[in-house]
Amino acid sequence: MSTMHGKSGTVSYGAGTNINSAQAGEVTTWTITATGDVVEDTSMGDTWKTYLPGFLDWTGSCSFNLDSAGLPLASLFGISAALDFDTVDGKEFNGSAICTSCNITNEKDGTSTVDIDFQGTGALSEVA
Amino acid sequence: MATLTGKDGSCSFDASITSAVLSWSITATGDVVENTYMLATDGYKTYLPGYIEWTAEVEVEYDNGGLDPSLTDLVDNDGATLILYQGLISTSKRKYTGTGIITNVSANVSNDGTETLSYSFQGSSSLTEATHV
Repeated sequence: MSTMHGKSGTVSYGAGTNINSAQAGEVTTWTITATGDVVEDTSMGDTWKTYLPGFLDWTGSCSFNLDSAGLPLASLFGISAALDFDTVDGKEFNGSAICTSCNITNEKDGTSTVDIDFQGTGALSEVA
Repeated sequence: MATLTGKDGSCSFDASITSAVLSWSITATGDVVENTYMLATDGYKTYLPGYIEWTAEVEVEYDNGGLDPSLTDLVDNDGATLILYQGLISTSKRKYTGTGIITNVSANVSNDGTETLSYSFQGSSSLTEATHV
């Protein structure tokens, strides 16, 4: 077993079309959050609460320095496309996702940055 | 590839370049509607994309020449063209253009700093991204 350094990570949305190689090369961070709903079925007479598993859900986000090639806003929204988060060193997470938020920040004493959030639709897969 | 530094950015509202800009930001959001049903494949929720929306924030130094944009722009029911520029000296700039309606003007005055103003914009209809040379 070995831990993985984040410096080799990449992001791709829409097979590299909707977030292209220019942006993918400027990624500073990506995260995935997978959640599982639970429904309580505790009843009188129980001591400990009990639950049943429900639907699964996932979201993703990424941040990057905005490249001079620009950001294709029009192709980010209104679609469901393949989202890939890759550690390069060994693990990849992918699934279909819808862009729900894109925040672009320009401050006088920093680089231009972009933060994008995604809502997963359907399964999230982990592959080697 | 080249990243963009903020120091060459600028802002234009209603065809007037805004003075003393400290920072600007855009937030574009896309609605989703859930269409998950019983016996969903793999047990995962599913969604469909919905409407798209955007807002912007611009922070400026409060100039003794007065508000720019002015308070009269708050009562402009149609909004006006807002253009937010990024840039890097000697290369092409990028810009984001759309119709913005000023929804809030906030002043920040403290005893140990410069006076600043923050403008909030609600975007109406599309936000487009393009090169600006």
